[in-house]
Amino acid sequence: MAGILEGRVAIVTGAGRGIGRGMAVELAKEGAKVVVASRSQGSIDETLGEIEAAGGTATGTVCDVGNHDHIKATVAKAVETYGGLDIMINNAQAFGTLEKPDPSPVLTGIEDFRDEEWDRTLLTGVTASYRFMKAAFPCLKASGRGRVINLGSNWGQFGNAGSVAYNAGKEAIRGLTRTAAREWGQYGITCNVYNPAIETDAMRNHIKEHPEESKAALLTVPVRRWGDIYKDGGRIAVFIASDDAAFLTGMTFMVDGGMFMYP
Amino acid sequence: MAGTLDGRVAIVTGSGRGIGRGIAVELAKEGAKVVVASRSQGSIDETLKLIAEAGGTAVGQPCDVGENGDIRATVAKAVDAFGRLDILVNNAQAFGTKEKPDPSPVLTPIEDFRDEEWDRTLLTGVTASYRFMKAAFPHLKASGQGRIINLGSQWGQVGNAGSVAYNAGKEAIRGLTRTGAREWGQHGITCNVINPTVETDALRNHARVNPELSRQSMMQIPMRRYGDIFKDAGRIAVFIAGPDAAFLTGMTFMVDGGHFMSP
Repeated sequence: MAGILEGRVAIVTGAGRGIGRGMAVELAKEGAKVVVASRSQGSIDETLGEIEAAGGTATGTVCDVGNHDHIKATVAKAVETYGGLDIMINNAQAFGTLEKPDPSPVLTGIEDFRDEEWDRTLLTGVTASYRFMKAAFPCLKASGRGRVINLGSNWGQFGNAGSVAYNAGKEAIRGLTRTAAREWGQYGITCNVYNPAIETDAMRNHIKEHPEESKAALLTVPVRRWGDIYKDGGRIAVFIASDDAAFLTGMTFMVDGGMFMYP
Repeated sequence: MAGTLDGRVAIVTGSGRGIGRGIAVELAKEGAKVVVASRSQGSIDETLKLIAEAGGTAVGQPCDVGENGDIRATVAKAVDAFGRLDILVNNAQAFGTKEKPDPSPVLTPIEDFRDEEWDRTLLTGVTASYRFMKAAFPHLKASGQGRIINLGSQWGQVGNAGSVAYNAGKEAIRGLTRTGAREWGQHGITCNVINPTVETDALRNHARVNPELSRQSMMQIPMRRYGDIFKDAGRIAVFIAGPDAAFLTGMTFMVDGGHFMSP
């Protein structure tokens, strides 16, 4: 039976694990051809293996979203391999610095925050998303049903203490996404933000570092669980990418079991 | 081929036309058995006919959502006819007064606003939604995958001049829905708001009465069109009601082509 994304081509950044992997796998299962972009060939291979096992089509490309040349090369890879691009998912986000990366934000007061970390966070988050969107635009416009999905975070909405760069960068992604929604709707391109509370390595690491606070946080989640990268993270991305969601743009999807409902 | 809503039972209020009809028909096409509730038997019959033509299953129920007895009878009808209730869509909304109804809000400044219109608007909007949710709760809890979809409006978010009761009532619906989301998530019930900019009789009437305003509005819509009751509103409701959206609750879906993006 044909998937609802047959004939589409997608790029998913940071797809070597976590939410990116969940999205890449679920898009592929619905018939999209997926470019799995990540910094590590090993994690790319694992995601490709899952897609292949599910009967999907994908190719990998090593990509540090902090490198503008990698961004251009990834878009070129989609066009060369699959002939176009319909779906752009900006999921990658680095934490820490290029020299000393972290698996999740290390909480540091603003007055002590490392400038290099501020720069790296914005570069790999909002700036990378903006650069990828510009590089992808001609293809998304030609698609007639382009889809941009950018990952935000309720940390940005809430302003969690100790995480100034990540918070600012994630809200910047919302401003970027709304602007593109406004400008590119006339080309049939929708642009939405996706704010997840989904169980990933980054979340598991954060929980390990902050067990009490995380236990309390789970109690604030109305559905009393974190999301699953495939069944929640992946399937909701499939919907947003599909024809049924052609009229949804500039939205923020709170993929978080009701954790954050403002406003 | 099985629909994603096979085995589920839904109530859609105000489904004799417009968005309610679009949602009722699309839920039925995905396999839900639908109770088509509306004030007019004639419009009920037209919706039932569309559902029958599409191969779906539905029954009609005359229902003035301003009457608590009608609300209880509608929930009872779902259980009597189909044995359960999984999906509640509170779409009905009256305008004007009971004695002199209007097809859409007649713009009147607050200082001149009719108290009877204030009362009728809240009664048939937020109060009816609250009453329906309470009546449905035992069944939605038993369902294990309960879904409540309440209709709001960006008029409430913007605070359109001349429409104080509708605006207040629609934002009240968001407060009601978030509370339902927060309290009932533990029972597997999700509660979300849809804020539509979809072409209906009410919208067409508003455009006829305020042509310049409406033309300007259309130019503000990134997707440059109004929504379709079936392909946009209906299919998005299918997604929210379905298994893939189990992790989405307390959200407001802006089904409006990007018209309103704040915040």
